[in-house]
Amino acid sequence: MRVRLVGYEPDLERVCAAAMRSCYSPHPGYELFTHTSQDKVLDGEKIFDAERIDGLLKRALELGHYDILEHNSITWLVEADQKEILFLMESSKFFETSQIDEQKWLITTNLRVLVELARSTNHLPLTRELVATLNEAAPIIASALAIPTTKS
Amino acid sequence: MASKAILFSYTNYPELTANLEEAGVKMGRENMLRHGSFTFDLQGISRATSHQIVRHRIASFSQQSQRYVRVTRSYGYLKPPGIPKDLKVPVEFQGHKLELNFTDVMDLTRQAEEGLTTKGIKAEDARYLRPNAATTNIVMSMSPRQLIHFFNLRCAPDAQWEIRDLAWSMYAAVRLAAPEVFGPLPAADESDYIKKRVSIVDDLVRKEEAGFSKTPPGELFQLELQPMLELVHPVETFVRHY
Repeated sequence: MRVRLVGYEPDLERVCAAAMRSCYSPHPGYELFTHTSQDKVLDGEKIFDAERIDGLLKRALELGHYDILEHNSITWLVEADQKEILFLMESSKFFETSQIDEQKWLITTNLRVLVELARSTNHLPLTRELVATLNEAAPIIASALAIPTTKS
Repeated sequence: MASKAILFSYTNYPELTANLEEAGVKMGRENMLRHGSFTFDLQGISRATSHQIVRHRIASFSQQSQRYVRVTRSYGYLKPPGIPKDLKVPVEFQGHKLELNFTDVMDLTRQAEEGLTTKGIKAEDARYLRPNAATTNIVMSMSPRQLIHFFNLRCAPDAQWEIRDLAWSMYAAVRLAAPEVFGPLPAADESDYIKKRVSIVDDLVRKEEAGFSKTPPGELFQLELQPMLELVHPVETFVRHY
């Protein structure tokens, strides 16, 4: 075990897409989040299906509108040395870390930070492995950023 | 329309601790406070209150835009209960003396803002006429540790009534959603006001636990806070069940 994904909120990408759309809609975030069929009428809003979520998140990535990607947390158990953890902590205010033992850490951040790490030029092995878990936690974002599923 | 606080996304602590236990790691409450996130949809709150909310760090906010959402599609306002509905104040306008109540003034500002947009003024400029009472929607996320700081400050008797009501509603919601993480507020040690209400929330949550656990996954459960919590204005409180 080097990086083990241990927790993230369900429907994480739908939450982010609803938060994004709520900035530009007369309808609030939760109403958008649950607008999944024609049974519910939300004046002027498209159905919040996979295609809609995909479109909104890709637009956020294009615009660099990363703040909407902060509405979540992703937690891993990792084996790393202090230098690697320090690098992560210096990269964003959103990193929370707890040391379990000398080499083992619990770390938490959000989707925004992972996207920024994925797009940065400094690819340490640990950050590459964290970013690779996007394929499970946030498949739309992983696909848009062409994140490799392997750790290499 | 009543304000709403909907806790619709949050860390699944039973699942997180089980995953860690599988890896031989026991997660204490101190760790839970730091490793997680709670996301609320706050609907129909005043801009006065949203200004107070966005002062908190570290947190994430996505707020309804007044530039992109036309006033005609988003207009609403919250009258403070402390201002009587029929209380009129004298104003003088171009030599005319008028007596206006709160609602009259809100109606005038709405008409003026809509009038400006009708005359082709951009929404981003017309919105400068929007008063602090105007309602907004905001999606907000915080870690449990930050939320406790927020509750300690905003559940206090000297906090303003609107944000205080909202903070109590949010506190009750997280107590129901994540009892392993949220307990009595640290501020209760120094304030009888907070202590009394924390104990009311204890009772409320205990009473609602069974109903919450029977709620189908993905559905909202409504917590009834009134009349026990004696909120100054109605805040409809919901928690999404996983």
